[in-house]
Amino acid sequence: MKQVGSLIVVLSSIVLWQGCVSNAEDLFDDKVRHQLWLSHLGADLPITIEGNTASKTFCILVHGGPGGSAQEFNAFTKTFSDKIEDKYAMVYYDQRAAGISRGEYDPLLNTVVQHIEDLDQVISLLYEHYGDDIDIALMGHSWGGYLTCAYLLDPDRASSVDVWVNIDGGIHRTNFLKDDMRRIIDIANEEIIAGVMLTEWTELRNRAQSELNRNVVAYNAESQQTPFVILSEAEEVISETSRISTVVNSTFNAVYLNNYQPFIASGNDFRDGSLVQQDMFDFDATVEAQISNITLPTLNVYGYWDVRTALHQGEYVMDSISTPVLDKSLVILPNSGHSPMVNEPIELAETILDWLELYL
Amino acid sequence: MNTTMLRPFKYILLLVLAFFSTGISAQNFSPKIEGVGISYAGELGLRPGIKADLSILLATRQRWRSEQSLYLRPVVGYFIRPYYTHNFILYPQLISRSTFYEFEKIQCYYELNAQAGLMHYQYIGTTYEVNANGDIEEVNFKGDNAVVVGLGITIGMKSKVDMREYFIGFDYMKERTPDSLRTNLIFIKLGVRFPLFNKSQA
Repeated sequence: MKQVGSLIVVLSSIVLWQGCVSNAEDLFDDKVRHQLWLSHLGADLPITIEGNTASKTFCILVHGGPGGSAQEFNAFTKTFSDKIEDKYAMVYYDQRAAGISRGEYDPLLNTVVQHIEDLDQVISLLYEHYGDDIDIALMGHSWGGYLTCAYLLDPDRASSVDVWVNIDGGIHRTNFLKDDMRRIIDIANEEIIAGVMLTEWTELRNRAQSELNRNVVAYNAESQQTPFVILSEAEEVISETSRISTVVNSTFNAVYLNNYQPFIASGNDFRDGSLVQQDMFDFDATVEAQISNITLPTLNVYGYWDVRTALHQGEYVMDSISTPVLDKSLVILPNSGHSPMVNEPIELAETILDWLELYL
Repeated sequence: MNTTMLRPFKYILLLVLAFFSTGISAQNFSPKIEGVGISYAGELGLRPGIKADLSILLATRQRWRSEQSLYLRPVVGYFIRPYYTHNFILYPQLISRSTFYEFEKIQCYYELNAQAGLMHYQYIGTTYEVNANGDIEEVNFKGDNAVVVGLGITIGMKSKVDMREYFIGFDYMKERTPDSLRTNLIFIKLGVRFPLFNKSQA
């Protein structure tokens, strides 16, 4: 038994020693994992840089929500992220009051403008840390698509970015809810013709049509709940019919091999996000007025089965930005819903890589 | 640290103390330092950590064939959330120990423990701050403090020959930070406790 005691002492000493040593890595290498923190107006934002920094190209993944987590993509959707990391460096940063971010939470700072300001500081930090000669691709998913769009409305800020990748972004808040209803009707019609879940799709089609018939001029944080209930049920029906599949890492893999912090993330889930929810609707007028300022090469990727931010939003971006026709594209992934990195991770990664190769 | 955070915890501690003190009143009360423990204490089991404690026997009594003891155990620990935070933890633990089986040379026991204390977490990685001028500057040792409160259970055995103890246990703690994040800590511990004054009972 004495050996057991010695073993425990040795094991514990190794733990202590491991904690004390720093894991210094080269700044530029083909396979790195760097951890940075940025404190800004009370929020402590974790920024993980993983992949090929030697490429000097950094793809910032701006997560959805508001309230999601970019670190989740790094932990749970390695099939997608690893493929991009082989060639470029991925940057996963969790927004204030979201994911595994820390710091003193001020609900009054949970606004669109503040999130834009935070993103601006994250980009500045990357230039500060890695040098001015790096390239930056701004990649936003869902609310992240919205946020990256809002960021790029200012030409000065847009000048610090080389490429925009919009993945299922809900760009215009009021219009995207109507677009979702239209998409539900389109899918319902196709599924009814195909004889799939006739009762469910007929009911959803009728409810979506009723919502459209209300002719809501502008939704708000409260009235958006009605279309949200309809689209959530449509997502369930799509899931039941196995139209889309899901590829994710196990929780064990995410927590122990990729250091995801489930308890911190669930703690942030309880943050009050009502201000930013309403703020998004108020920001629609700014988007309408300034979206034509965007001239960057832009890739839009939407899932065919996405009823949360329908592909019409991609068409809206294509029609509204001032990027030359040859430098913008809309790709519809046929077997994806709202999260192609989960549904078609390889196809999404290859689509993005092909696009980035043209411009970086 | 926000002192209002401490308010509910002191009532919890009082309740826990009262609970564990039941039945030990009127016993012989002579605090005695028994031993020093060291344990691997992994957060969520596999995230490495280490804890050291000093075991102080507060009271003991014999009840049927079981020996019941009340301990106070100051604990100091460290654990890592890889790529996230270094965490340093300090708390007193109040422990009720009952023996449940005795062999010739080994005594088996279980412990129920309650603890409340402080944790300091420090971010891993290069930390930057946006200063008042809007410039980004590198800073050192960014992190904060948290209050931790929790319960746990331990099963162990004590050698009557060299008085050494081996134990395995589980601790659950609620972590509350100044940013009002209420998160959970779960530790699996595996340790050994050495007697400070080696007095064989065999």
